[in-house]
Amino acid sequence: MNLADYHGIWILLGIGLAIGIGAVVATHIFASKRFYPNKLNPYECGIPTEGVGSTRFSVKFYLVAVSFILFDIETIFMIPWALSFRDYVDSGNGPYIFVVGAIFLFILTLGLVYEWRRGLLDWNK
Amino acid sequence: MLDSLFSSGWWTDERILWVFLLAKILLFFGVVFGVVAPVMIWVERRVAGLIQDRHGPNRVGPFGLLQSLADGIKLFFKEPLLPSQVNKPYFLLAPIFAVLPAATAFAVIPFGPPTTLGGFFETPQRLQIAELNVGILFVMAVTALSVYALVLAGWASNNKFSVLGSLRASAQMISYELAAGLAIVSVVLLSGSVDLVGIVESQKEMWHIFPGILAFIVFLPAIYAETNRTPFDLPEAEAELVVGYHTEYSGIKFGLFFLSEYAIMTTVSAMCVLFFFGGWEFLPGLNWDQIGIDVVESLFGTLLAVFWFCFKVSLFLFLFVWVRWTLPRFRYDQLMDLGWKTLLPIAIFNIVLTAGIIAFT
Repeated sequence: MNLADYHGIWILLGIGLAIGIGAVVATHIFASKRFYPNKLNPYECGIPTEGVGSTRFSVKFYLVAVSFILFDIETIFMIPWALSFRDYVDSGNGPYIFVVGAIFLFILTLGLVYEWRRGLLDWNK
Repeated sequence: MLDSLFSSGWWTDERILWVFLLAKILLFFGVVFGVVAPVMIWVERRVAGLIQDRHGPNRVGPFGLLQSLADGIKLFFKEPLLPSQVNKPYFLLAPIFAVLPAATAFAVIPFGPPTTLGGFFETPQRLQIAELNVGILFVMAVTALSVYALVLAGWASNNKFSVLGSLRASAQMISYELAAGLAIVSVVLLSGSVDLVGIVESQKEMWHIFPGILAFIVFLPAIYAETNRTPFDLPEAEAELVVGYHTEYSGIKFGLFFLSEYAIMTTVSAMCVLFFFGGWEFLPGLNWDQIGIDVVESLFGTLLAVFWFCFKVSLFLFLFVWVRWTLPRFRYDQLMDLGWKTLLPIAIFNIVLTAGIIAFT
């Protein structure tokens, strides 16, 4: 494992950028452009637009984002635990590492149950 | 000239590895973006035709195979509309952002066993563009980045349909990412490795699909939701949101979103195969060694294993298409219920179950 292992990713990133920017720039150069005001209207099924596009939206989306951050960090914490699990089992400490992980997951589940009971997961409320 | 080049000492070990890396990139990138994605778009439309008892595109080239190419040329020369209300820099940036994760996510996917290419290399080289030992984390992180393109597209479009579509997309993707992440934790438990090659090697004796059936049941819907495919295509929902976050996109900018969707689909299908279906291994409980084929030393064996891996991936790609044209779309509250109240508890339960079985047997 060294930094050279990432070369491929940088090259791919470069190719991706080249394709993306190249396609967008080239289409603006080569494609025909015959614009008139009605063609540039927002696509809202032919009805004249009312108000601004970015309207207010449900607070539920924020709540989902917040609980996502909590659970996602927990998931990332689980991966090193899962990775070293076999080593502990092989050295005879299987029950110990299992209980440690189970306690962590139990606390995580408590959070989920709390959210559930408080109605955070009920989208219709 | 080639002879003098070979004998001149230009081919140092380091340069050979660089050429090998570039060859892998050309091969893999070319196949995913140049062959799999266009052919998948064609397959999608043909299978849709078959399922709906009509023909589908069959005019351009043999069986209509060149349809995607024709569409690409058409999209490229289509008028690059910039609707008057959009936020122009971000509007142009969003399709580029969509391509980047699609182009980088498969960097860590190994498309074959470590190989010496029939004795060309002294030590087996990995058929993987970036030889990371944290492949799982990389592929999770990069596929998750694709949500930014959707949010940016929806917000920059400044259109009510697009804003709603991008909000739905982001909430849906992050909800199902939890379930997918926890399913991956149990794969790591089973294989004891976060390196994708290591995960496949741990399945030499038994594929993870058997001990990890619950993880697979969680993982499959989760990746469908993450790629915004039917039955979870609520961000696009033609009937209610007129395709959501890319309502305002047309021409090649729409084409870039479309292309990257299919490239990401290829990556997640490959993840499915690597995590649960033994990667390039032959059959569950019967690996290449047991039927006498050396996939490391012999070139034929390597090609056979690469072909077998591609075959499995294409089965999963077909499943994507089949599911799309068979199942109806969920309602949004049902989608959230499934993610948070069904898949997430199952995934947590499965981790405890898997860990318990490993620890106490």
